[in-house]
Amino acid sequence: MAADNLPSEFDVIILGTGLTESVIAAACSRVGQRVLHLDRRNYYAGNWASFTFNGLLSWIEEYKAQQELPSTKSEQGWNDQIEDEEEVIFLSSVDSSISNLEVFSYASEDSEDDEQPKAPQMDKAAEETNSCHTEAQDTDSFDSCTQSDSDPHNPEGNEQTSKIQDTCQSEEDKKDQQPIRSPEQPLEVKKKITYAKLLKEGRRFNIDLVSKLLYSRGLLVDLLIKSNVSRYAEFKNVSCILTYHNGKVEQVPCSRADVFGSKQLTVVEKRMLMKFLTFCLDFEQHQEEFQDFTDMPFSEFLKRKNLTENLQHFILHSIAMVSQDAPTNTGLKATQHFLRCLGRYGNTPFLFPLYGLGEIPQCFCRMCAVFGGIYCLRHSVHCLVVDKESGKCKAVIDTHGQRISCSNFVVEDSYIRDEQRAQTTYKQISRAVVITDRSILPSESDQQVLLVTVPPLEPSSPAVRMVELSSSSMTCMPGTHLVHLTCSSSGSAHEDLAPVVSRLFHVPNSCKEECVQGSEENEKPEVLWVMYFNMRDTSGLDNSSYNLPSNVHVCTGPDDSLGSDYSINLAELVFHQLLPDEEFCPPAPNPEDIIYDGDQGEGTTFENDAHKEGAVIEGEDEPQENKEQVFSSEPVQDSMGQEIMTE
Amino acid sequence: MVSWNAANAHRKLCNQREQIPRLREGPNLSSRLHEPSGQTGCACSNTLSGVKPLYSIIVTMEDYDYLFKIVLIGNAGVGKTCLVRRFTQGLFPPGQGATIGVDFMIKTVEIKGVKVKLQIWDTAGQERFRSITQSYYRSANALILTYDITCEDSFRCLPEWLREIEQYANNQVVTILVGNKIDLAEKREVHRQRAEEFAEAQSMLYLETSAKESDNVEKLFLDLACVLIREAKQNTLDNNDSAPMPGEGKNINYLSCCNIN
Repeated sequence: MAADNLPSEFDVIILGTGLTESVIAAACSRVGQRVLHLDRRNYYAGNWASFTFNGLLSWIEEYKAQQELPSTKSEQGWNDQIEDEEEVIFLSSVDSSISNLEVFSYASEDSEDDEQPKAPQMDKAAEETNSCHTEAQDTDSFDSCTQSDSDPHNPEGNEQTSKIQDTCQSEEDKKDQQPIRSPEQPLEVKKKITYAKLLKEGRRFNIDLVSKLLYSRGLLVDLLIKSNVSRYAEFKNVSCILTYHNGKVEQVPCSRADVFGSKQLTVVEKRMLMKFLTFCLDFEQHQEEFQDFTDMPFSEFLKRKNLTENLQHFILHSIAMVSQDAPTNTGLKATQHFLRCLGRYGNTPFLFPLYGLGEIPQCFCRMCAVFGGIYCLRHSVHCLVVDKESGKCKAVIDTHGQRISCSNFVVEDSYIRDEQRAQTTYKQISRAVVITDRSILPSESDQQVLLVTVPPLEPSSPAVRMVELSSSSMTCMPGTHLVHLTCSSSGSAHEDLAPVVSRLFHVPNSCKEECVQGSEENEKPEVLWVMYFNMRDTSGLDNSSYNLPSNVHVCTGPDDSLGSDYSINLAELVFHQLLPDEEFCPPAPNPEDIIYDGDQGEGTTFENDAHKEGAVIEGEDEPQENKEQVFSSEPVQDSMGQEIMTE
Repeated sequence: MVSWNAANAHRKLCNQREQIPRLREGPNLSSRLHEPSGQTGCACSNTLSGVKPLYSIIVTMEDYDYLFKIVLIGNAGVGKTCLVRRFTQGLFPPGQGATIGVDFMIKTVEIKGVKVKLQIWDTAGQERFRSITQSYYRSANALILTYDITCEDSFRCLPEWLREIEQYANNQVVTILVGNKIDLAEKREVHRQRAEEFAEAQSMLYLETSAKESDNVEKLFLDLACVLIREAKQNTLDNNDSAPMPGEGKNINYLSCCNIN
């Protein structure tokens, strides 16, 4: 906390602490580069950050303040540091990557009834449950669908669906009893969560601006393991994949156990699905199966394979997670990737970092610092100093007017001014963050992490991806759930996502008096607080999109996909541009393997670290793989027959 | 020498425990990444009944009953790294710079027959410009908040550090305030009583040390280990599923060991 001056010379200066920049910082520092890593904000990870509830409110305030006065005040005092043969390139001092931010709070503003249970307050509770809904029509059909859709072939229903139906049944029975307590709710009285409570417990939230999951065999997980950065973080498995289908939320059968255990699928469907997934696992070996379809959309391919409508939905939207018009090859690759990630760590292909995704860039920053990287938040670069002759950036002037020389400069996109851009129109990502009072999937455990895919509600609307987090992921307070919705924008975040929010959740609104059929609304999780915003998606841009010196490398922001492969690929690419001959993130030594030289403090030697680490990971991975690898091609056909027979 | 109010500290722990969410998801998530499989608190609670500790140190042991993550914080230059190196290696490197490539240091100690592995994390220099990552605080069992008794400024920054702790550390974390550099008594700027009062007001433990003379350094870590063992033991008694706090997640390398659902 001392007001030190920064050193005046570095190999690499990195501006922005998002995932890509942080990985580059760690990689450079790890191989001995002198790294200065700066961020203008007072927190790490930029648009990848996670905030406590109160932190998020400050972030919102900052956004509003910036909208009001987007002034760029230029500081003087640096002119004398520029020589004749140099010119300057100014950086932007405002971040305009966030737009259309809207916040709605539905949690009670009362502070008195903070601790009061809901049930004894009959008046209040009745009022709540009676609150009407703009989409009463929809919700009616939602309910009837749930009823009519119960599969006649499987009267017991699978675990999840049966619960949903039970609930509906009991709703029917007790229609006039208010408030209704659904059977899976704990018997103790549910406490009402007020806004004051959200604020008071605000530090229990870690709300991500970017919502992504880690594919268990994706580039990020591989990198975390390879580099030993994984030691700084803890993870939780995504417990279940759901999809919004036929007006209700259904579980997607993705592992072999799921497929055979599924009561939604007919025996024929199970066989079909297993056969198709087995084919996808090594589809390259079976050219003949798909070569005629390479120019066609994957959705068409699925149709031609005579898969039922149910199966087409599951594969297209929840397994491949591609759009209707994605080419067959893309769909097959995505399906294969999904299947390969299954069973490495759990029942689904995904992991989620405890305390939120914002931890991950920080973990790489820690690695950078451990290898001597210097960190300074609340500190930015005012301009680049470019040598006229070579056209290269040789130094920067920081926001304190200090000149710092460097051989390479890495910068996040949002620090670049429009003058340096070839184009200023961007794709956008639509985001919603919802705090709800219960899980969308009623079950015994309310401590799950769920991925829900929501296909376009209207033909013109975007496919939405939803991640529901529970307090066990250390991202929200107990008694609440944190739901992230993400899609590629077609309109503003509110336009894109509000219809999905009101379809899947109960959004309390003003006309509390009129509506009577609150009962099925009561079924859905209630929205306590929701925020919508758009984030600029610069992932399509490359070097040619910027007019900058060749040793200035721009890191584009987060993309709209579920995994982080894009950002990791970019980090590796930039790293190899900077240091073509160096290894990207070799394993950091395990502290337990470091042998200290008895007399000398500095003299530390690393013993055989790379080998040892690798062995440990392999060893732990293999047995699991054998046990859980679900679609391992050979035995499936045989045992499938058996399993179906025994049903 | 030490204003170590163990009873007070214990009360603090008990109070905090009530606010901690309990994990109800099943036994698979209850084993923390550090704990060797099959060796959870349960096994130890039998052997550990009295709490009067007897210290002894074993140098290298691969097996242990408990592993605790201890995190050092405090202004740059107060001697955090020296404390760790004095304890783990018995060294006092004068005028040493940052230790490149060393993430944390490890020392296994035995306290009354219980083997405790201490994993001691240093700031990696990120405190210099007040840029410590939040993830640094996560899942720490104990925090050692250090200041320099010869530097008033390092003492005045303590409230800022406490705010960070409050914000990012698990609320069950044990915090101890350490005034380092008592070998430089003639240059003392922060009076002992002042520090004691401050620590008491914040319900922290307090200890003064000299990494250079090795005064109280061992005591610091061993006393901390005792408190952590007691806490872990208490947790085991409180809930039979012995879910260790904090952080019920897993290190990525260990995740594959567990059998999920």
